[in-house]
Amino acid sequence: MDHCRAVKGEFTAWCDGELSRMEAERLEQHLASCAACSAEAESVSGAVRWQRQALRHVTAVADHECAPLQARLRRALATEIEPRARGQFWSWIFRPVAIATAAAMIAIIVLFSVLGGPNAVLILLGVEAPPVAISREPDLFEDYQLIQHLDAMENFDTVESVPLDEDQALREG
Amino acid sequence: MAPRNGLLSRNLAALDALNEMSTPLNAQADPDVQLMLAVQQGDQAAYYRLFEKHVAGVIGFAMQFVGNRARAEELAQDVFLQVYRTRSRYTPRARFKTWLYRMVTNACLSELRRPEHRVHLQPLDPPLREEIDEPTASVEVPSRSGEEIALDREAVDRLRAAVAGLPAQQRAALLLARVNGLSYEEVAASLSCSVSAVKSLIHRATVTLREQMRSDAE
Repeated sequence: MDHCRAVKGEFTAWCDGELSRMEAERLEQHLASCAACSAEAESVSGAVRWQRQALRHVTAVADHECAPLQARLRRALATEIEPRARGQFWSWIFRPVAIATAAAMIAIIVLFSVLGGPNAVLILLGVEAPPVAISREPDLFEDYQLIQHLDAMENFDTVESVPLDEDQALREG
Repeated sequence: MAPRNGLLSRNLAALDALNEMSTPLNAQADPDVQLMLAVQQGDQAAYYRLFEKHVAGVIGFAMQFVGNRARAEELAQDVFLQVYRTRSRYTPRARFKTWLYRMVTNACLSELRRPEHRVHLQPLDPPLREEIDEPTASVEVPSRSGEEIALDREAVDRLRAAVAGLPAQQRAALLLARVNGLSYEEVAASLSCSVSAVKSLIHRATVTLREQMRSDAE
């Protein structure tokens, strides 16, 4: 009887073809020798076949009934896909600008580090006055005055004329 | 409607588990896998082909859990949005259907846990009801003994009520195997249980439905 109880639990899997060959052979051997189990197996088999068909009707949904859902899904997806696509478009447009900006930033950083800091660049550009050290140690910056002078010559109109006595003193000295 | 975060994270964990537990599959074997791989590459037409192919099955399955068509459609929409959102995580290690129904089953079982969505099965929506009323819609199922079984609207309604009375796990296992054509191993993957547990769930569900239909007929 225990064997019958154990075998009965396998009937559905047997009908669904889900038993291994060995399991199926063992079950079929039992059915050949047990009339009660054989009758039950036949009943389960009929139920499985019937349910396989009938359950399709229980869960049936016609394809044409799914059209509104598809439209809703397309709308829902559009809100996800389109912003992403728009983002890709703008990133395509701004990518060269972003690359150029990044290159310029890198160039400035390199320039600063080579020339000894941001002040060096600003002095070079004429934005900032040279440091006091130049006047304290003129030997180190002897060309600086010459450059300043040449610069003044180029912009002669803006340079105040040197008083005569000072000019003479400079020549004598 | 946006899926709830909890549901999404549960499904992501389940999908990862499915990827790990399944044996590698030749992608050529399942055309749906090919479509899903195309979806991964950004092919939206492939995505809508998968949707058209499976949406009716998903709604029909979900209706047996949530009890009404509108909620079943919302749930189907959530699941298909998840398919799109999780496309990068998809690996072709199982049939696409197994992967899809794992998400659907998780969504349905989660829905049943929510108090505001306890199952209240309603009669079939009118169009389908009319369809079954037509003589051509009746099904004749041959039994093993050769006896023909006619399935009318009343029988379908009785069967629907009997299915609704099954415990959720039994109902899911039965429908996945009988209607959606999943093997017991695939059902086990969908329900995160062993194949022997699936055997037991489906057998108990089959016998319960048989007894229920017999007692209703008497």
